[in-house]
Amino acid sequence: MIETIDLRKSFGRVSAVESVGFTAADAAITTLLGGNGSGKTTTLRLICGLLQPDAGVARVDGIAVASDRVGALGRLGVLHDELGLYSRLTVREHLRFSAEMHGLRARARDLAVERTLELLELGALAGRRTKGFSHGERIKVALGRALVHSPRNVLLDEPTRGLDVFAMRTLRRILMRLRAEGACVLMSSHALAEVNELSDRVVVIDAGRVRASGSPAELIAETRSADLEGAFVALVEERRAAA
Amino acid sequence: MRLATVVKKELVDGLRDRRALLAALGFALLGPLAIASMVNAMAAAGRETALKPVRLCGEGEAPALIAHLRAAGLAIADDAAICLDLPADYARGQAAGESVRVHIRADLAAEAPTVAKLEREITAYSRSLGAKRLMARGVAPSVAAPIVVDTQSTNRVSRAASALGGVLILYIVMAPFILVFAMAADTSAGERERRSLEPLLTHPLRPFDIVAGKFAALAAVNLASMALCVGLSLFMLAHAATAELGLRIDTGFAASFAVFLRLAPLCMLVAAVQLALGLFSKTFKEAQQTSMMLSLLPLVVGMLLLLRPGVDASIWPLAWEIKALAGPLLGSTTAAAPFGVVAALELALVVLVLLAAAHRLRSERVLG
Repeated sequence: MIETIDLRKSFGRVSAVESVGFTAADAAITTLLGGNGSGKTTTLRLICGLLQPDAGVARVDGIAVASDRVGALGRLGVLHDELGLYSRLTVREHLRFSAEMHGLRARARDLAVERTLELLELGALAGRRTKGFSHGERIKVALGRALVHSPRNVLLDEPTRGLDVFAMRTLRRILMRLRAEGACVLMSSHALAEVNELSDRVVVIDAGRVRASGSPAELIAETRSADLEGAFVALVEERRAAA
Repeated sequence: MRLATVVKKELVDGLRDRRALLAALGFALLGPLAIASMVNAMAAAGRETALKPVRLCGEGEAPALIAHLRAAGLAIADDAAICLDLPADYARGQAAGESVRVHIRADLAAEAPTVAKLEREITAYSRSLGAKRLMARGVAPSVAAPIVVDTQSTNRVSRAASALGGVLILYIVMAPFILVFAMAADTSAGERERRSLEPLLTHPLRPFDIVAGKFAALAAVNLASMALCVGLSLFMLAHAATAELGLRIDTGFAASFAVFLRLAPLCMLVAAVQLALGLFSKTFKEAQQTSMMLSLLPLVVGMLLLLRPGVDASIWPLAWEIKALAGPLLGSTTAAAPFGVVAALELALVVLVLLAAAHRLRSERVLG
């Protein structure tokens, strides 16, 4: 479970996150929905300890990230906005590296790597260096790196961005499987169709604040909109009108 | 164990970087080759200045003069290019106590050293003959030679050989700065530039462990390259014409190991500094430029030591290495601080630099 309480973060005079608090439950997919610059990526970076909050708390399975960063990271798998692959390492080497960094050794590591290659349908590319990979292939490798140690909590920053139909189907299948296995999946997105289909709970963020949260159906009902897009626009415009 | 994983990944990634590898191997392979070639070229030039034979081309006969020239190391040969022309009346003139003019004909541009030697020896012979003539007339020879100049070389090694020894030491001390600077920039600033630092930092590992892993990989590559560099340099010099230049370099295994051991702490210190510089640099290019500038440091220190030879630099990193390498390499007896003291100082600096690098890695600013 991932929990944030009143997270705040500024960069100089720019306030990126003003007050973000939500809970992402186990066995559920929670999506941070917001426009560009709304604070989604900053919130995810605060949760995985890349940034230190000015105020507030982020917890992973009850472990406060600020006080026990290594403990919290041991329970997380993270897919970053910028994938950050090593172009001179093969797919298998990426997965082995990540597995070992999470403490897996010998047979347990090898089994985890093979299982992940199979899950992401990366077997044919396993021995190839990642230089020259397509965006979809790169996302798969980065996702494999985030999942190889079977984390109980998964952070995915814009995982659907730039994916073709086949890669999207694979991602959808993986997210469903993670949910079925009881993992807590927290992702950020502005692809409304995917958010609507995949999310158990949506947290709408705008200008660094949580504007609303609930299931897609609840948000649609609350705003009396026809779909999630309408609900999202209504929630953001309501805030802007109030401001 | 996780630290070992970082080391392994850095080694695999670094050793697959062709540009970095070429830079390191180029310096390690071409440097010794260049120095050995320089030694051989200087020895060949020295051989060209060796004395050449002289031909007697006049009609005169001068057995005593010829014997003097032979005793002075000049060979007489019928096919020589340098001609010593003795006039037909040489013997008569000598017997009459007259002054006889002899001529030397030669290509002065090509045979200047032999001609100069020939002139010196004929002048010396003439002076000794003149002294005998004066003594026969009851006059002390010193009357005709109020000043006698006697120049002696106090240096066992030629100036060129001494300079070559300095170049060798400077090359070896510069090597740790050049061998891994590209790899250091890639593993620090490069990691940030290709955005792989964020995934790395979201693994459950303390920033110090990540820095220590990266440092261990860099230090291992620097030490291995250094061993190659020293071994290759001394191997090449063992097969170069150093002795002809009067340069005595100990190229044995013990000397090679002593040189490597003296440089090992510096290799580690430079690896740590280059890693930290990369983490503090904004871009990969900036990291490379800073490391390149750092690699000029041995030249600066070497020049300072040359300009201020009396300065007490006994435990300063770099200055110590420059002085201490002269021992095993050139047999110099210049006093240097004990190795243990300098090694402890340099390793303490390594820890400090790594702590600063880990502090930087903990900071948000490292993400750019």
